[in-house]
Amino acid sequence: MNEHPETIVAFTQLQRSYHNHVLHYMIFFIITGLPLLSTSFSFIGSFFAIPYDFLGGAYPVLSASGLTDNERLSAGLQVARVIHRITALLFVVHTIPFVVVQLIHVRSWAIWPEDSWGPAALFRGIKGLWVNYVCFGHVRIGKFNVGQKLFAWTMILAVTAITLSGFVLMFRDQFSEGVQEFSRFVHAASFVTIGVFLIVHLYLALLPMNRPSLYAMFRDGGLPTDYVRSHHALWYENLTRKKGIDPKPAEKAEHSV
Amino acid sequence: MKREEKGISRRSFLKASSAAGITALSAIPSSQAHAAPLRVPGAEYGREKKVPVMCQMCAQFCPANACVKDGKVIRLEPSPVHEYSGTCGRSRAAAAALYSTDRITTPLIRTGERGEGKFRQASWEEALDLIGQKLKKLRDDGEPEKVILFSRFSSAMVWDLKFFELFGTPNIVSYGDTCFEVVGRSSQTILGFGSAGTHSSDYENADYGLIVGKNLGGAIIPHGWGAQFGKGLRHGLPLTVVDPRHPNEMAQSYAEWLPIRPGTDLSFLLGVLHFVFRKEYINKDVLPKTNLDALIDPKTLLPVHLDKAVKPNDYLVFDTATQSFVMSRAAAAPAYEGSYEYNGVTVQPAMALMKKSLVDLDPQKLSATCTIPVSRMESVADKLHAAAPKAFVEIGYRWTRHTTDFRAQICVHTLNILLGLYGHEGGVLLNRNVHFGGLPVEFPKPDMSKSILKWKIDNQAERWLASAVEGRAGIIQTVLDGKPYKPKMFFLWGQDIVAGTAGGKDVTDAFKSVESIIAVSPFWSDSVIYADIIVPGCTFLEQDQPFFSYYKSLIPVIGVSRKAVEPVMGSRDGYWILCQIAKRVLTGDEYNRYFLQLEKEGMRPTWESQFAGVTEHGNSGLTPEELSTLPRTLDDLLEHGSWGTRRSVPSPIPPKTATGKFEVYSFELALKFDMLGATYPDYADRIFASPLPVILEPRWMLQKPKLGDDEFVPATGFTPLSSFAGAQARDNPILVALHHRMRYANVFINEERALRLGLIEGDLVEIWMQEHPDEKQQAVLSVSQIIHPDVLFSYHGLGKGLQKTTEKMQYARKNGLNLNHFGRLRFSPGVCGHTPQDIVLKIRKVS
Amino acid sequence: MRYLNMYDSISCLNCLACMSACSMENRMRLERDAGVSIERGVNEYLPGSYYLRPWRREVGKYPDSRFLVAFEHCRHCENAQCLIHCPAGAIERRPMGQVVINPSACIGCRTCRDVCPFDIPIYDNQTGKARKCIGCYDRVESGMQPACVTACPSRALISGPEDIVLAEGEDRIAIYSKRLGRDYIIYGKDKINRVVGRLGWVSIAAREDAEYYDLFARPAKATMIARDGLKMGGAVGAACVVAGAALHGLYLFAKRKDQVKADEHDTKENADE
Repeated sequence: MNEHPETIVAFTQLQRSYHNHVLHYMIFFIITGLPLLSTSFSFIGSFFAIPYDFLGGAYPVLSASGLTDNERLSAGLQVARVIHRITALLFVVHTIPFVVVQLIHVRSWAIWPEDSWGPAALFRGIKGLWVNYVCFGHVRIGKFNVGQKLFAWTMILAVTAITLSGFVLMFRDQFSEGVQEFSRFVHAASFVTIGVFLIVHLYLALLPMNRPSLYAMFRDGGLPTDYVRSHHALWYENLTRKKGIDPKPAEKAEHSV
Repeated sequence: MKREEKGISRRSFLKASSAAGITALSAIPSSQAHAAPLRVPGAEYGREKKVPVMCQMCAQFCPANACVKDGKVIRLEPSPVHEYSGTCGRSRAAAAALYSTDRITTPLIRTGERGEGKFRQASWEEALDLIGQKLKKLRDDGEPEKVILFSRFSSAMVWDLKFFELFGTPNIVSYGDTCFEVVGRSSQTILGFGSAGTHSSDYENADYGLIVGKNLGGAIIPHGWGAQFGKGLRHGLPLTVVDPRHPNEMAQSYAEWLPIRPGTDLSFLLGVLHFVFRKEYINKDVLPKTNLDALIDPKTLLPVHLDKAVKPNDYLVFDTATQSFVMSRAAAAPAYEGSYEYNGVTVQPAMALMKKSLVDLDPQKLSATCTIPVSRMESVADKLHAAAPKAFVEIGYRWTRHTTDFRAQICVHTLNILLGLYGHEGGVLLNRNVHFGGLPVEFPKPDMSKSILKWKIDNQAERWLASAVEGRAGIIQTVLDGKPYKPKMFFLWGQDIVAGTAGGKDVTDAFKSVESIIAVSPFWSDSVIYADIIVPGCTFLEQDQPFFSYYKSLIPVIGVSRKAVEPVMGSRDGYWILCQIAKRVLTGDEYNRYFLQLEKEGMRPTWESQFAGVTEHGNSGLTPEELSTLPRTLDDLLEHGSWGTRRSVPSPIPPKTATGKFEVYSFELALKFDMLGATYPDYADRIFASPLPVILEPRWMLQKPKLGDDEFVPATGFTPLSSFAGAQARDNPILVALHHRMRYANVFINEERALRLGLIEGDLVEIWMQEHPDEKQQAVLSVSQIIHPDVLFSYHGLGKGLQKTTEKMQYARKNGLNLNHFGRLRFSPGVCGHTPQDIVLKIRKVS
Repeated sequence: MRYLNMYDSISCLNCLACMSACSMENRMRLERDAGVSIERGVNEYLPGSYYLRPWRREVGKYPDSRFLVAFEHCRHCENAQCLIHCPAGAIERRPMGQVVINPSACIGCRTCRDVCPFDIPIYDNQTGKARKCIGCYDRVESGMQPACVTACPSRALISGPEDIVLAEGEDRIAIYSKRLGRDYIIYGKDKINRVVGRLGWVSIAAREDAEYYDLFARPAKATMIARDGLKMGGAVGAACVVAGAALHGLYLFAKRKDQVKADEHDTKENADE
């Protein structure tokens, strides 16, 4: 352990690898799932039919009479469904070791509440979000603010739900019709949740003020110690208390509350 | 979401509780994807060749059209003969029978034991030579009567009977004793005529109907009865149905259902009659048409004086106008009540005796027997009276299950006559048939002196009302006891005695001991599997057949049946087979005289002579007006297909008894009752011949008045998608899929009984008779709310029973009951119909 | 003018001729359209060929019990949920109103089944596609009646132009109401609810028996309608979130400009010192 570290490990290699792969999985899930969710996105389905169309439509190799619009869309949707299921398989395979390792360290998850619980603490945390993102002030928070924590828990629940419901939908005949229909609802509900939250997540991840965190996730996983001390004071204190990191003389915070 | 079987589906409860929110959300529009229109396929609808056939998926011959495309049958449709035309689900699946890969495709000769199912293929030559040899030997040895012909679903209809008559056997045996004979005989006793399907109730004009022990939707005879009944339902015909099981086919929507203990219909009907007499519901105008004024000696039950020398016979009555004893035709006002002294004997009119015996009945006792409340019996009587004459008590045609059925059927006729329902619009009417000319060749009359069934009637006490023709169970008995002589050959041409005759091991023992068994059949059956030689005759779709007219319909119809496709799967035309056999058996002269024309010219000469009989000979059964609508020439008729007319105005139906009266007090029975007492003093069932109403319990009830927890009385019905045990339905994948949905091959018991036995839906159970514990049948159990608690219900004809036949049937259910396979031969007294359901069964879970 | 089918539960004999005829007609179609010979087609179970199916139902407790057969069949709804929701656009409405799945376009996703308030389309494992009653549109457009209608021996199934069929239905229920003393309905003649609208296949039954015949008062699949709500909610939510993010972004950008200006000013001041 480095006694005077320049950077603090924010995200482990496993976490980064998982996040970055999931990012790709999400892209595939979303574009292959949207045309099945709603016919407003049928154009995506037709997009997936381009190679098939090429062989069977404009330059008929597969079909002597060419394809109807419906057959094109149908082919594209079937391609999309296959990609969706392959992605699901990869996602599950990748998720299992991640979940196992995370669960081993469940007590040290940074998304648990800090020292205080309850509505008052929640309200304080939300007020802190306003200070941080609207007033651009500093707040005394741990590794994650309350918004990020709620986001994380929501994601855990939603992704679990979408995975389980997806499993039912992939192996439909093993389940009763009531379970099948309920799973379609859950799959859609969790997708909507994930989708909306993802928009927020993407926006915040790309904000200039959060640049160091972006680098932490996409580069080597580390945050500058100074940054942690000034922006995540509580986290820093817990780290020094627990791990005996000798704090450098506190530099003047750039922005004080 | 899964539907739930019992009660309202769970889904509707969920819906009810979330309805408001849902309907609000449902306002949200969703975009519709753009569906490209389908091209309607070049269907060639209406351009297929349509060949008139008479459907023979069951035994009713409903007129149909076979749609043929490229030499293949692609559909069977009803032939629109008249307003009551129709075909059923079995007919619709005929192509699956026609092209069934389980059909017998070559002649077969037995290699294993009888009933084992082991055969080798043989050429037609070999098989026909062998059959010819066996028949010829019997004829040459002077024993042609030892050949028994069992003909029904025959591929050589009409001509097969003639061949065997010419051959010299009087033993051409029909199956009525296992089907309709009780109804036939009871009609004949009281009305002087009648058989299966003689009557139709006027469903569409009736104001009330009582249906006991029959199910007009169950086995469904769609052409005629089915469509007539359907029209009645469309008129909101009020019905009371009496049945051990709620007969949904007749009554799913609204009929009053009176659950009854099996075999106790007699008690119920006596109860109704009791109230009819007690409350004076008898139609006085009908009485003069009956013989209820006949003076009877109460001690002997015989008419005081019956003059059989005059035609019609006459009998003694008391004329109240002249206060003297006269013959009935001379009486101005015959007495129906009172007692009179005649030659020192106190005598009474039959009516008085009948009234006393009915009014003296204790309805509570009757109710205890049949488990129908007294109030319901009375209410049925009231309803019949209120609706009369536009009411009926259904006669139906099949009531051969318990010893008491004949007596119950007599009550049905009695009610119909005395309430004035008979021969009126809205009541009971006569069906109409067309009478054809005979065959183009005149065959000699057969010598009946050696008829087995006739001998049995003349020599066996119990056969006091039996038929000389409808008696296949009687033949089985003769094989076993050798009286008057043991038959040497069974020739099966479309009857399934093993599946269809209550006798269990007696039947199979008989089949194992007869010297030879020949079968002509395209399909396997419980009987065919016992044959020594099998030749595959073809189905009705593959050959021309004679005209037919005996329909259960108020409108006369000529049924036309022509070859739709060439024989498939290696089968041959039945008439060709007959000619080949005739050629080998008859002398050259005989063959040339009687069968050469059939061989050379096919069905045409038969059609010509049949048609000539209708148009030329004056006794066709059609009115001149109806005749004028008939196609003018034979070719016109063949082109037209099956033909019918319109419904005519009902006319009163005259009785055809010896006395010319409705013999509500049957003299025939009175004479039999007397004869039995004199000739067979040890005969125990004499009471069954009583001309007066008597309370009788079914045999099962006498044996087991109190059922044990694991004991049940069987009851069966037919499904609308099967045909006895015939492979054409039992082994038909189109139909079997529906059988499965409806659990037709299961057995059903009341839920309360199931709970007591710890049995649940889907359990595999064993069923047997206490007397024969080694003869167990297996079935899948269903638990039900619509079965009388004493009853074990199964649909007849789909169960494997105890035979190996289902090994040859890929789709047929490999378990399930056949009641006829239980027990031994069991006859009802008099008519000697079989009594398959008059037993007690035990049940136990297998696994 | 819509072409309607009508089922009369009162005159139905539960003979299942309609169901046998339907399956047989589909096997004929297999030969006509897919080259499967009739000899082969009639020698297989083909569960997918049964567009009409019986559902056994016992009502009540012995002895006040009844056995009836509910009739599973496509209602050809006016607002066919299957048609609306099919992601492949594989379901069309024919000119006379029949709702038909185009098998060449079906992707077997089973949305039609999920969304059908009457649970009608069945997924055929052999073909990987959903199937349901096509209203025998090929027969009707050739001037014939549907196979099931011609099969019914008791005229419990009739079909034809809307006004004729409904007039016959009214005649029948008038007779039933009068003679049998209960209230009878023609289910589907009028709009049932917003989900299905009116029906292309109506049914006659006693009002109190309607639920036993699956003639639901409020036919709807709660989960699937909620899912529709989610889609709308999701779209709205996404839009709000994007708008919110845009506003915050603009605000941030504006604030940043001020901040930069302030920093520049500070730097200038410091530089000046």
